[in-house]
Amino acid sequence: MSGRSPLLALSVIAGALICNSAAFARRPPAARSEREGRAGPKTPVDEFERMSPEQQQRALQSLPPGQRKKLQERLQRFNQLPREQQQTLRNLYNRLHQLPSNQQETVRKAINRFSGQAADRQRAMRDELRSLAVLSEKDREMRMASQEFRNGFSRREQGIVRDMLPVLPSR
Amino acid sequence: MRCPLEFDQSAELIVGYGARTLDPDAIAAFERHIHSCAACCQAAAVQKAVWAALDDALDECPALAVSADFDQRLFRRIQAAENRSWWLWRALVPASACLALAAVLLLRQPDSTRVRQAPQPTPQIEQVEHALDDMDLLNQIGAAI
Repeated sequence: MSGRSPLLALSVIAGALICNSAAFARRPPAARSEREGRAGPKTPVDEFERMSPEQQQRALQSLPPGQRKKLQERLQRFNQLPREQQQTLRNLYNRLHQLPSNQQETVRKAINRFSGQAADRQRAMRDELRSLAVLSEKDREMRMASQEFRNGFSRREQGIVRDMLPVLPSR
Repeated sequence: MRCPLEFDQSAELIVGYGARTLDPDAIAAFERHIHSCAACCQAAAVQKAVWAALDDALDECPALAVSADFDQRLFRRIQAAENRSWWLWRALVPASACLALAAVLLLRQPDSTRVRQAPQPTPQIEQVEHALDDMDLLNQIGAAI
């Protein structure tokens, strides 16, 4: 019996260590990214920015000259945006890309419909989205079912706002 | 007596005669036989010479003689050897378990570190373009959120 006790102890230690390391390996990516930083996952733009100048040049070389120049200008424009706006866009992009592809497409179409509206209606919808962004899922539903919302927006506008909801931050 | 060289147990009989382990009747019968059989007489003489030489060697070198407690000492040594192997076994099993555990942990470790230390994927330039397309689109509502 005494000969078995070291083996038993070892088995317990081994089991604990293996379970512990397995638990770390199984930890979901979200939990790890929280530990790694609050910025969350990076976008392809951030990954491009992190590349060395040689790597960036090599990647750009694969594009035709006109397209290359246009992309460089767009990157420059993004980098010139205020830091806060850049972060807002990163968050929106990441939330959009966490959605299933059909839902991503619905959001893109809604934004396209949004940009086709008159400037004052765009402003009204932006204000509504800003109000909805701070509400919980349940309160958002209640707000959109309210008479005030229905009276304030046309059916088309209500649809645009509803389709954009998935990219709003979860509360 | 039938000649022992003509049957299978001849060697046993002749060696037993030389070693003086045969019963008296067998010795008498064999001695009667060797008087009339030259081959058996010669074989018995050879056996006697061998045993005589062994007796002389033991007389000259008593260390070669088997002591009275030979069996007892032999069994004690066998027992000691068995005990040693049991203790060796008891030490080896935990050591092997430790080694196996270390191997498992070492093999698992790169797995988890690979997840954390994997080099950042290089984005395809098309992915960068699509990301900028999405960001331009989202920028239209970005100020609202």
